[in-house]
Amino acid sequence: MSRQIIVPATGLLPHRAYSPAVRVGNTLYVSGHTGSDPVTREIRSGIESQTRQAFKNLQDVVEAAGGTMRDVVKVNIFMTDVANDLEGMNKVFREVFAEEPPARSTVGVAHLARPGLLLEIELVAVLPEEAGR
Amino acid sequence: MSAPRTVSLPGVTHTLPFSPALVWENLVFVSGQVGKDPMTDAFDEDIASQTRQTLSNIKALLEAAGTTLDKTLRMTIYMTDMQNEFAGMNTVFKEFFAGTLPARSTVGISHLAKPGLKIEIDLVAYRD
Repeated sequence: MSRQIIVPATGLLPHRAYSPAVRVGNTLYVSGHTGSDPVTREIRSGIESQTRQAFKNLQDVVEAAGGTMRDVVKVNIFMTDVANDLEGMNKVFREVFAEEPPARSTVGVAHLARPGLLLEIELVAVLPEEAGR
Repeated sequence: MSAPRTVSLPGVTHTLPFSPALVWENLVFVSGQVGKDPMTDAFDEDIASQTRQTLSNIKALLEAAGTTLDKTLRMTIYMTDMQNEFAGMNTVFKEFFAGTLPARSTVGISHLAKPGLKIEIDLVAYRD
């Protein structure tokens, strides 16, 4: 099966050693994204803003592959303070996945790549047969 | 290609904004499960009980999705105290998995959604 690197419209960040996403067959594996601006790297303030930005960044990648957020089947969420931030994250999650939501795991982590980051989200999507081809 | 379909445990009201499991064609994606009783949300303190309950919850979800634990392809186990509880988890794990074992990753994490929860497991399985 072919292996295709997916790059969002905002482009690659030079410091990253990995790809934003890799598509193999119809399956799209999207790297962990955070609530920072994809160009300036500015970190959004608060859990809701960070969650919204993270999903925006993920959506840009999914769309670059020809898919939509409805194609997402599994989401993994890593959070630095689940007890306090779960509710705010869930609020935005519900906005993103209003019906037939994907499967999800959520775990608390000691830290993320930069101080101030509250969550990181990665996902797997299964794209329609002809998407982006 | 068919659309993904949500699977829940029969009789259990799921209020969180994700699918307990999602079936797409022959694959079943199970969300992270913990050692809580699905009806009461109560959980035991020790790792053996929590592991057993977690895997029981997963087994029930897989059955609701039309498959079984032995069809598991890969799983991730998240633990709050891997150094002390890895062996206890594995002992219970072997009660559930024999023969061709699934691929697995286990990582130590700092906390889970509720204080006292020690383990969360997610997995991908196939169905015939």
